[in-house]
Amino acid sequence: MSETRYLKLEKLGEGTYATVFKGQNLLTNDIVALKEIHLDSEEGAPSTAIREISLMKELRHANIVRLYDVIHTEKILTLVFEFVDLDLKKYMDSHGVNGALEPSLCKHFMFQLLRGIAYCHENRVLHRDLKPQNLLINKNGELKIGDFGLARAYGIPVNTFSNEVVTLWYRAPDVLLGSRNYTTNIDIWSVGCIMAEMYSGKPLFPGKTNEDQLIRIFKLLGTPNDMTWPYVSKLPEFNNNFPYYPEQDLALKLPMIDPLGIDLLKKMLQYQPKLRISARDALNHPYFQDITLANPGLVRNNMPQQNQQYHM
Amino acid sequence: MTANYWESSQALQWKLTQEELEENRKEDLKYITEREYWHLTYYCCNVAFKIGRTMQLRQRIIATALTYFKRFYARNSYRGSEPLLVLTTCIYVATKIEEYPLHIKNVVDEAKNVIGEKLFKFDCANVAEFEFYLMEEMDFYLIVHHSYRTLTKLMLDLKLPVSSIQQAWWITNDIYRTDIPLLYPPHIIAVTIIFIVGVLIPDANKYKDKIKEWFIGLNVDMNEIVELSQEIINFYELWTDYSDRNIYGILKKLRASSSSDNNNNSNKIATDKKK
Repeated sequence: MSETRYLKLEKLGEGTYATVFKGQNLLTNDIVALKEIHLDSEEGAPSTAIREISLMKELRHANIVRLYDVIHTEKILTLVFEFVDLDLKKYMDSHGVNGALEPSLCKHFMFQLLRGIAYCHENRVLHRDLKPQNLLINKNGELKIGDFGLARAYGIPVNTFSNEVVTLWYRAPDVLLGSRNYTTNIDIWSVGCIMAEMYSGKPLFPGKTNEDQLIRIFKLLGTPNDMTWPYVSKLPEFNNNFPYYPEQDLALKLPMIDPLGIDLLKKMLQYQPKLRISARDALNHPYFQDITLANPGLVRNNMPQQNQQYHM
Repeated sequence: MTANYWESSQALQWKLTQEELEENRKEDLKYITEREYWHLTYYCCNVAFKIGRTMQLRQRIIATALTYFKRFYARNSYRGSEPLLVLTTCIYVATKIEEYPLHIKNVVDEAKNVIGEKLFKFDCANVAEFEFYLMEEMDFYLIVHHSYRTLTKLMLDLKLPVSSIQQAWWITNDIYRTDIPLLYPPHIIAVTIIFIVGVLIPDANKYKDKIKEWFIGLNVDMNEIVELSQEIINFYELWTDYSDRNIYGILKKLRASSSSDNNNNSNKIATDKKK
């Protein structure tokens, strides 16, 4: 079926549980992304795939990638998605200066990312795997959140079905410390990490192991204790022998971010999950006061002039 | 899962009318009576509740599974399908969607156990194969809103006695045996159940004024509530008459007079799918 309706073009990458190809709709000639999931004849479709399909069917938003179709052949389930040219990681590599993007462009991407996330959260959907590779940027500079394969309500797997390891870099400290009691605020932490990375071109906390990830966070934000984060010592992975680090000044570490941006970033990188700003409140933060997006259709027209060179 | 019912696929794609359901039922009613149709439906629902109990599944999973089951039979006939395979697959898909994934083998074994091997002749491969077909029949709209949460919240707000909350939960469970979850929004179901339970509370007079006042403050169509509560009461009248002794006979009648296409239904589905 997929062979006749869609022409499979080059491989785009390996997702968390699937392989993604570029494809062409033979009726309309539209370019699409084909996400192929191999079916286990024993257990049927993976629940990650079923969750992703069902969530994508409910979520309709300019900043969330669209699912057009689901196709089934004997051994493969293919999800047909809106095709988007680049992910944020590749965009930063090819368009940034050493990976760092223009501040005004960072703000536009942040605004769109938070709008998409606010919509998810208002619909009680957690993404749980936000990272630059899962944020897609189209030719018009529109950001679309993709890969909802892990968007479920509990259990972040350490290993996926392929041997790719889910990255730790954007994972919230409460999750790293073994808390299972998380909600929308784990996505906000990831958004904070992504914000810093867009401005600086470098991941904020590129940890190699769970422990290394925590230590990197502690080195910048200070080692938490029960005074700075009530009951942190009760979390399963908390270790009283964590080395002590004092809190650093984020503004010094990230001098390219303006003071309002630093203020917002601090509100997103709060240790205490319940103190993290919500996506909706973040959108109303003064950092965005000079954003003039009236509606999604205006994104293109409002892209800052100097960034036109970034477009393909 | 999604918070806004009005923008959900349940409201936009899967809110059906009585006429649509009756139209689809005509095929089966050529072979069995309406009463038999409902007895088969109740039997399948009972099986789902029993599987839920023995496997200790949350009520929500069974509610979702039965909603899938009803959605499937809003577009298909019992005669043209294998209701017990459909039911088992609905439960299996619901466990995936409601984030309580189980091994297919456990679900199939439990179905075999509850239904008996005389009626349940399916294996894991049948369920795995049927899974996609089921999801496709629902256009992959798999997220279902239920009334449990609204119901509990409203009843706690009203400070009704715990015994009546329990009673309300039972009624909510029972409603999944009927078409009501396909026909009404979850909050209307929740409010109607409170309307019914309000009458049944032992010292109802103590709460009468409070409930009355509360209903006046609600922005709902009271005619709809009264109509739905009548439907619920009608269901209980049918339900008291239910017995599962004749299920084998009903299934046989559904298959009987169709020599050409009977017994080939699961094969038919399989070939349809491969086309």
